[in-house]
Amino acid sequence: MSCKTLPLLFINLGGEMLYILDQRLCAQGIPSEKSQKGKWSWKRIPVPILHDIVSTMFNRRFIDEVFKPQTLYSKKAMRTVFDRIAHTSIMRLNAASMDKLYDLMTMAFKYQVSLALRPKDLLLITLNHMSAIRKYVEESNPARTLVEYTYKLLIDTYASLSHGEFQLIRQTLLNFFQDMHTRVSIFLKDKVQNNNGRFILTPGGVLPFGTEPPGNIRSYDESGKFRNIGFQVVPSYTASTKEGSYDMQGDTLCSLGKNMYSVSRPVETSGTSTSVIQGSDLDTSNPDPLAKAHLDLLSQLIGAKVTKNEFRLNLFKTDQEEEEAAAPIQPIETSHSQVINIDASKKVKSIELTKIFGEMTVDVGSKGDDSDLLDLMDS
Amino acid sequence: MYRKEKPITLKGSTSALCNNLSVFLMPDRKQISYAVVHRALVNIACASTDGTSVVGRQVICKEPSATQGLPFVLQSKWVCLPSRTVIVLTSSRGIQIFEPDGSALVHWHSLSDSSDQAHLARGIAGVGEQFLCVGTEKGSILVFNLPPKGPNVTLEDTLTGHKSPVTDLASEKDTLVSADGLGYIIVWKAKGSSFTQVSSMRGDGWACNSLAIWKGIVVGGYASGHLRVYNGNTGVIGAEVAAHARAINAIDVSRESGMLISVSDDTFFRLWQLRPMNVPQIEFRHSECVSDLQLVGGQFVDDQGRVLCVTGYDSADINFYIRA
Repeated sequence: MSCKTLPLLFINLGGEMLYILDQRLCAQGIPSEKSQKGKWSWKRIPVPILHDIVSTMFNRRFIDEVFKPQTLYSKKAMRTVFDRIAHTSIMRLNAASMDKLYDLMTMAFKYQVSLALRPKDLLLITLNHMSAIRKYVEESNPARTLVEYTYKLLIDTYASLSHGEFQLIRQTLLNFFQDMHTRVSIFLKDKVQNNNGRFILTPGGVLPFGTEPPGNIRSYDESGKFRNIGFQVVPSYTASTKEGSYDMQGDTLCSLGKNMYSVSRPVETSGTSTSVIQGSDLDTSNPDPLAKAHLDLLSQLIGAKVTKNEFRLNLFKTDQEEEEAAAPIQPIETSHSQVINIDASKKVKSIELTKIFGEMTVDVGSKGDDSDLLDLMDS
Repeated sequence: MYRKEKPITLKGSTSALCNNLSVFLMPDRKQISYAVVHRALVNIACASTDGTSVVGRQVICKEPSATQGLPFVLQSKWVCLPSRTVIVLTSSRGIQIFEPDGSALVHWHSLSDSSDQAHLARGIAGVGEQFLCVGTEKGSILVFNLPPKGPNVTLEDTLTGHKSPVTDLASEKDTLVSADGLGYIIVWKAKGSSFTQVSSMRGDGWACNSLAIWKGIVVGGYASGHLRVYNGNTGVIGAEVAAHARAINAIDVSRESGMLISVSDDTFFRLWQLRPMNVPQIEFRHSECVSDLQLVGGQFVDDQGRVLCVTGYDSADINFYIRA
């Protein structure tokens, strides 16, 4: 499948994660700033946490690695990457909340990929996420620079791709999300998802840019002249007249990938929902060595960053609900240890990664040695 | 006009790929086999013609180097040559040829071992007496010589002409049709052991996802939702149909009646009648929505076009429709 899929998957999932965290952080608030009860400003509370997360997500060397042509990570490895990224700030999520967060992220992006009018819209969806992310870090110069650098990479990599290449990317993404059917309450409420976890695909509506409404046969004769013969198509379609802009500040003319959460539309998965993974998921049994290498890198980036003022974010309505949800789930550490089994002694495998590793530890000011990082990873 | 029948449920869901359904009719054994790609494997269902018994099996894309996870299968298709039938699997790393029941691997043609560059193969067709043709990402078509028996499959020729990845192949006797990611179509003719270009059709930038050929009429199903009907010998266009609201993912033609099916991401399958004339024509026949399913595979089961089946992304069902 397409080797250019990982950046889009990573950025869009990350964008969805930030939307959810932003909304939950606003709703829950941070303990240390709770002094003026009921008076906190909704906008300001999540800012430092989102800054930290964005800075890690878009770390230049990590993003460079992500943009290298490669196959997608396995579902498990991807989940681990975001687990690590979510924990780069002082915020802590327990296993149940992290599961819920990841389910919401993946279903939201699956919805966007499924509903995209044409494969090229994937870039527009990504740009919607990028401009939202940029707004989160507007006040932070370093983070904003990283986001803008990634934006440039996106345009360089994707703006010139053909329909066919985007189609292969879309298929690769859809196959990554294959058999994921978690029900999301915001989708159920909006009637865009069925109770079996499938998206509702209503016929009719707007057509992909550059196509014509179905219902006409242009019939040619030997001289090359044609006449139009109509046929009846039941739902009516409207052609789109303008193409979305790839400009950072421009209008993508695409609503997919924008923030669907708000105070009145909170983050929730359906109460009884479970993700149904049916069939055999062969890819999880064979972790991709490349994904592992990237996890190594990411772990190094993140592992060195220890903060003491942690606080816990809950993706559920109450703590009790969270505990109940957590009960049947395997502890997160156990499920991870199979994937990130980092052997620091073999770190030298990639000269480049080692180089990056060196650079990063300076960046984050860690003096810990390898074994410390390893401990952090497994903790 | 068409009545929905009981579906066959496979062991795994259908992956989002073009032409993700292949049908193999064994009249003597009164059995029909269906192959659908699910990620790194192919689900095969063998059903009796009356539909009473269904046996499922899976063919896993065999990987010689265990170091890099399993490759995704891009297409699987039965190829019926006069002397031999095989099922061919293409993945991002190579081409695998199996015995028709998927039991034994006949030949493995590697395309790439590097993980940072995919050399995917797509488009499978049998031509003439013993040629098996497979399209590649580089735009070339590999021509294999398939002996009537045994594993001595040899690469006979490599046809060049396409400037973007090959998307699909179709064939009729000695004629091969190939399409690519920019919508170009080339018609080839096999003479002895060599292929020559007969005609070519320009693309408009949208991929031609699926091809069909019937009595010299070449039909392309495009990602823009269009169907285009050409005279294969001259390359002259007979009709252009605004057929679907999203990408067409698969088309198929019934061998005896010239009935054509097109399936699309827009959840519809539509049926058409081809008219073989000097400038070939097409007529609209029927349209049916399969709720909430982005259709990725569509095939006629019988030669008359009375029974058809479709598959959709993320669903494990093969849906059947019978003309009432």
